[in-house]
Amino acid sequence: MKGNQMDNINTEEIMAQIKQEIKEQELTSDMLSFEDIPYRKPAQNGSADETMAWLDSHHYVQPYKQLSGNPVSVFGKKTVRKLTKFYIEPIASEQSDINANVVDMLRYLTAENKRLADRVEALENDLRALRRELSGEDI
Amino acid sequence: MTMRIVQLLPTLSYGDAVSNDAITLGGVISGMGFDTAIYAEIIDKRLPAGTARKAEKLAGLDKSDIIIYHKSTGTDLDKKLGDFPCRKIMIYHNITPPEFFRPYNPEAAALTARGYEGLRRLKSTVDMCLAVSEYNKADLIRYGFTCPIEVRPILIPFADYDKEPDSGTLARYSDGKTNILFVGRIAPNKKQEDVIRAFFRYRELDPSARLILAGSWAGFENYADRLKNYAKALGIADSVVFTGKCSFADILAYYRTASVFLCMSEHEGFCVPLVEAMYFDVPVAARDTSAISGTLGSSGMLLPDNDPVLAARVMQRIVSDSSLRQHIVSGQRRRLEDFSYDKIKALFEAQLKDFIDKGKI
Repeated sequence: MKGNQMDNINTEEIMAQIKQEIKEQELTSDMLSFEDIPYRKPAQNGSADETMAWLDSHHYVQPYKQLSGNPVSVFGKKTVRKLTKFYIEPIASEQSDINANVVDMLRYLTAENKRLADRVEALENDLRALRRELSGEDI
Repeated sequence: MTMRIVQLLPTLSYGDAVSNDAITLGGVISGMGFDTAIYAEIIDKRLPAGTARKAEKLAGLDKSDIIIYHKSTGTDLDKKLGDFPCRKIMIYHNITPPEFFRPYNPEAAALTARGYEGLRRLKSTVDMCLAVSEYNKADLIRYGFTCPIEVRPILIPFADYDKEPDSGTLARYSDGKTNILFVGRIAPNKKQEDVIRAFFRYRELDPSARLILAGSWAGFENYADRLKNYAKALGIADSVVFTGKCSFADILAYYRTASVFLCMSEHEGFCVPLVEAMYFDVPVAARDTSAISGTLGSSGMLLPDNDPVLAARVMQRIVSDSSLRQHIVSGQRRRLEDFSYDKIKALFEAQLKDFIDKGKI
């Protein structure tokens, strides 16, 4: 009997049944988001290029997160968002501007640093050549 | 002179899937009568002395020899491999995309990014690939590999699982409560936050249930802290067990006391714990991503997304419906036969012999 019962089981059908139950009971996945839990963000200690790429892609401060939950909860969140818009948006926008300028300046400084490092290397090569000449190596 | 078939990998660790595969294959190659050894840049001190030799000591190979290279991360070995005059087989275990690691550990992200750079280089270095799953094979094709690519699942020495579980752990979790289990290191690609979300919803249906997240968080301490804080914020911290690094005997006890194995991982090249759950007759519910469906075959319950309500309801059904549970376990037992030690060993031997024969032509 048990064997027959097992043979009749169709997991796809069971999955469809469970989905239907969730729909009928209007269950939602609304809960505290993992994204709302702060954590220790590490310094971007990969290569300089990677760090620049990271700063470049993260400089914009997104003032709002995607809303999730049941329609009532989303409506409530939207209302709160509208009420606080006048305060949140200018702060986020100002911070994004600051971040963008910092990224631009870092990019300029990185390029300038590379140019100076190349110049120092060329000067050191000249210096070595001059020293060899003075010591009579090339004579 | 006997042909040498050596295995090369960056790190030989204690207990991880790639290292276990290398050690088990070493026994098979030796059993085939070849002169073999494992070479690694870093060798875990917990491994018995003589398990492997330092990679810098690998020398004296000639054209008739073979290197089996295990690829799973970024390493200078990708470049060095081309310097050896012998033929090369790459076993591809897959590389975790750096995007998962970047927010928590940029060094780990940089390492796996280097792994992908190395992969591009290796397509002109290796003569054959063994992918541990069809998913990995597709990955190699996408990366432009044109050499022969065979699929060879990870060789698992199941006899080890019959060892004694830790009696203390076994007793602690055999208290009649429902144990939801996930085994795997605490890492962002494994999406333990989605396991916690599903468990949070499951607890509404079974308030005494417990979630066990078995695995080390080394390298991802900030992610582990965030997960613990998440469980705390949801009010379920008392019911979520973070084991941290644990012994093999503990792992055996977790499987033996588990009611359901829940996997919400977004990126797996094979996922050995699914097969382990099959071995211990623990019904599996797993999110259908990466290599998961390939490893499960038609067994287990595949979840289409990370919806915690759906995952919770599926777990409840598995726990409360003995016929369904038995049906899943029977399917998993059938699937487990595909990964039997003898079957995978014979497959590997045939693939290796074929590769050797082709080299003689």
